[in-house]
Amino acid sequence: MPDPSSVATFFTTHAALRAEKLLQTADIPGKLIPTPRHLSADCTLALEFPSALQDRVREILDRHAVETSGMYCLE
Amino acid sequence: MNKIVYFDNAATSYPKPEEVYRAVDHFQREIGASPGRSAHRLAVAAGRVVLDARERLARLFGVGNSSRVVLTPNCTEALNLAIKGSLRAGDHVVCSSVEHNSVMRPLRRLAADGVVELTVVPCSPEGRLSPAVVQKQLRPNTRLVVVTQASNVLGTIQPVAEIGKITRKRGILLLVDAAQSAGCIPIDLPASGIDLLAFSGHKGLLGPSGTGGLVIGEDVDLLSLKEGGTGSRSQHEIQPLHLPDRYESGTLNGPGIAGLSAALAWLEAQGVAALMRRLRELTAALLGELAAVPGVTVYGPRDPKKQTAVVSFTMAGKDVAAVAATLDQRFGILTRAGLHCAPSAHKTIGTLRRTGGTVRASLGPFNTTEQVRYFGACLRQLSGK
Ligand SMILES: Cc1ncc(COP(=O)(O)O)c(C=O)c1O
Repeated sequence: MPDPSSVATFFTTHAALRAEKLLQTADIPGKLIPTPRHLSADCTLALEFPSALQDRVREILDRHAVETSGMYCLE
Repeated sequence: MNKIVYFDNAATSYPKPEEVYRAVDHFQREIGASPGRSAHRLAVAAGRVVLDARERLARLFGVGNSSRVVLTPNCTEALNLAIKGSLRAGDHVVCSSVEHNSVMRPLRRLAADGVVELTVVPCSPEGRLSPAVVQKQLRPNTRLVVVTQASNVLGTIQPVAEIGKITRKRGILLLVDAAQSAGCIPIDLPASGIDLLAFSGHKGLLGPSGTGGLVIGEDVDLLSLKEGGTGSRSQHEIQPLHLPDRYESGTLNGPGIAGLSAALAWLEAQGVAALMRRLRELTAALLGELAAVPGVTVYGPRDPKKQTAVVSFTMAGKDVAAVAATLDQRFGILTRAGLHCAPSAHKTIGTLRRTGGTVRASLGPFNTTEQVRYFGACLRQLSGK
């Protein structure tokens, strides 16, 4: 069974792309995906990453003042 | 003769670094899509190009948060956004007497409409603005001070950091027009007390035309100049408040921004401080050549350390437009004559009516000492001496 994923959603494309880059720099596997409609309509792009790393992701985004509109665990 | 000597870099820089042409071409052919709209791979690739440009600009200006870098089609729109987005009815605003019309006209209009009171602070004959005189003009209702960091007519560099100390202390916003300084002299927003920095992407930053932007300080809140599609928060019919989208309605200039990003990478590799030293050498050579031409009057500081590579002059008994036309037609040297969209600056140095402006030679990093010497020789020939 694959590891469970989480999704971060954003208010702007800038924030989504910046988050992707920050995760890359931190060697965290992150992938931009079309934002699932049931989660948010704020920005077309969302960032998917392993749920086990949620705390680290939160910490990195906070440290770089990248605002999220939500963070969700995917089923 | 088909040799061209381009001395009009203050209008827009030419040529650009080779990488800029390649980046524009690459974007047009291989990326093409609109950044920030769709979620497909090309739209994401376009978005990454814009992100890179924004992050490079943030680094260049000493700004930590790249979402505060708003991209516009030119410096004029950035200045209009800063001015009209910050001023409210009953406010007082101060600017220098060497401002470009892209500052002067929005301010004059707001004053004429009775929205704001405007004080234009006279500069010295060299175009220098005194921080002490600015301070004396401040009132309890002063909201904004606007200063052109380097004059597009005289090259004069203003003491922006000193003015920033005064405005910070009084809680007044400082808007800097960096059209002529960005890429030409190092700029550090937080260290200089600058709240708003408007820049052209196509002058000293060496990007394509159709690029520019406004850096908005962390605590500064502006009204938007225009509203529209941002590709974000599309369920709402009201403008989103998140930066940069709040101020970037409409499709961005992808190819232009790609070129600007390549230009910024080139600037980073060269180093703005190193380029500034090189331009100072060229300016010193240019001033030297002009001093050796009989009948030439040079305006501004006439000191490479106090100015950018922009030099205005007149020739006794000769019409400025005719001088520029002859330089072009006979010698292939491209300068700009007239008022340079800055009538108030020409009033300051006394060339508004008396001579109908000046001839302006403005250099860029691709000009050479040989070109400057050739220019001097041509002017000596023109002077008939
Ligand atoms: C001092 C100054 N401010 C503003 C501008 C306007 O810049 P842009 O042409 O990018 O709108 C210019 C150049 O035209 C300028 O020299």
